[in-house]
Amino acid sequence: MKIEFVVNGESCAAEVDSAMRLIDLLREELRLTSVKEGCGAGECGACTVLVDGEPVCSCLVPAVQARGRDILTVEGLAKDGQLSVLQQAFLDCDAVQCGFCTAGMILTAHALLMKKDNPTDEDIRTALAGNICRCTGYVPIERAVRAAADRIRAARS
Amino acid sequence: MAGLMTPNSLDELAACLAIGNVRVVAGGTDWFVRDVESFGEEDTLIDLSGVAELRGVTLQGGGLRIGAGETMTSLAGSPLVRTHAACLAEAAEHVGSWQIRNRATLGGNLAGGSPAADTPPALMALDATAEILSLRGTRSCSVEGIVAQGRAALAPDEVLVAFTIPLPEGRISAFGKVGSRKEVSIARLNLAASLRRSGGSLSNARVVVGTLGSAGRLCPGAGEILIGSLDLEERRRAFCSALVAVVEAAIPGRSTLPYKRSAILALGEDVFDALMRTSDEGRGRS
Ligand code: FES
Ligand code: FES
Repeated sequence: MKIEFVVNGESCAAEVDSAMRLIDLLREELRLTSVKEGCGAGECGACTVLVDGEPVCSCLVPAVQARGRDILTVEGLAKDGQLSVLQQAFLDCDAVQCGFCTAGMILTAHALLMKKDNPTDEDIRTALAGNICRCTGYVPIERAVRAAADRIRAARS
Repeated sequence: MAGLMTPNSLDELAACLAIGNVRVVAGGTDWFVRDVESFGEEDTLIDLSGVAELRGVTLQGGGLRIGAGETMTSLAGSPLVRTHAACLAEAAEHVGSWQIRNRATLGGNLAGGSPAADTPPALMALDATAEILSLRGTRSCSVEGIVAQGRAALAPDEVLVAFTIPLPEGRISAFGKVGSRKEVSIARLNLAASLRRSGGSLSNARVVVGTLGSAGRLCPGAGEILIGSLDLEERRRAFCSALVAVVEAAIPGRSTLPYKRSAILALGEDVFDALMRTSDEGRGRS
């Protein structure tokens, strides 16, 4: 079945079948390899992408459900070679070690910041509870999200 | 090769069901992890995510009607659900991670038949009825009845369309769960309870414990105590003891019994206190 959807602001069309997952569509068909498969079972969050602005595990979503949706991966964050504020904050705060969890972390945090520009520590932890990191111990990640929120608000005022 | 269909309305869905050998997928959180194994080359997968009539939360004829395709995120954030079905909003809010709550649906949580599911006990405590569509027409069945039959309750070509929760005057409800960690945990034990408060008196208690081999077990004894005449302290103690007795009877000799026995005590106290707090506030919350 042919479906149409938007990925990182561009209209796309692809042939999908019942066995295809959204992560397969993004990685194999569209070559968006920022999307990582950790557990393949909805537990680690490495495969997180945003569908209509909401974080989902792309390893669980049937590819056909991309039909008519707007999908964002990390490839869609940087503009004109310039990292997004959140991406830059991850670098500045040493929130990246092996990097396997990073794309998913950043997208979940991005969705949070779109909804709440001044999240509490509790908001950040609850939002990121489905993203597992085996390297950083989470503290730098939390710090990066806080820093990005502060920078975004500061830039606006 | 296996087929794939994407109906956009209930009428189109009914036409899809007619082809036979169909399986349906809604949020998909269980599909690739569990259900896909029993999906054959001759089968057709129907994606329910485009069916508009499966969404929506509305007040209708004295009840609250919730589309089976509503997600955990939408339930937790719905002012109508929070006001009229507090225990359901609380249950939905604590399912899995944000990513999972964005996809997992109310219908799927029940149809999946997991004994550890969080929203079925809440629906049971609220005395909800499910509306089920198939080629044979539409039938309704209490959530209690569906839970009692487990995964056999729904035929493969039957689709949960909506749930209706009756809204008696003055009903309040609460939910609690104990898992292995604070976030993203699968319930080891959960508890939902509702009752009616009119004037100074309490009535119509429904207390449901989940994860004891089935997604929900109604505990009439604990319910009677909840609305009984004991003073508050004694009532809390008796309520918790009744719940411990339910757990002991449900899983005698099971290795998890000592854990669940102490967990239900804590859970019983939390839910009891939440209910009494809400009923003290004297608001018409439910
Ligand atoms: S790969 Fe999808 S949640 Fe782990
Ligand atoms: S940086 Fe390695 S898993 Fe998070």
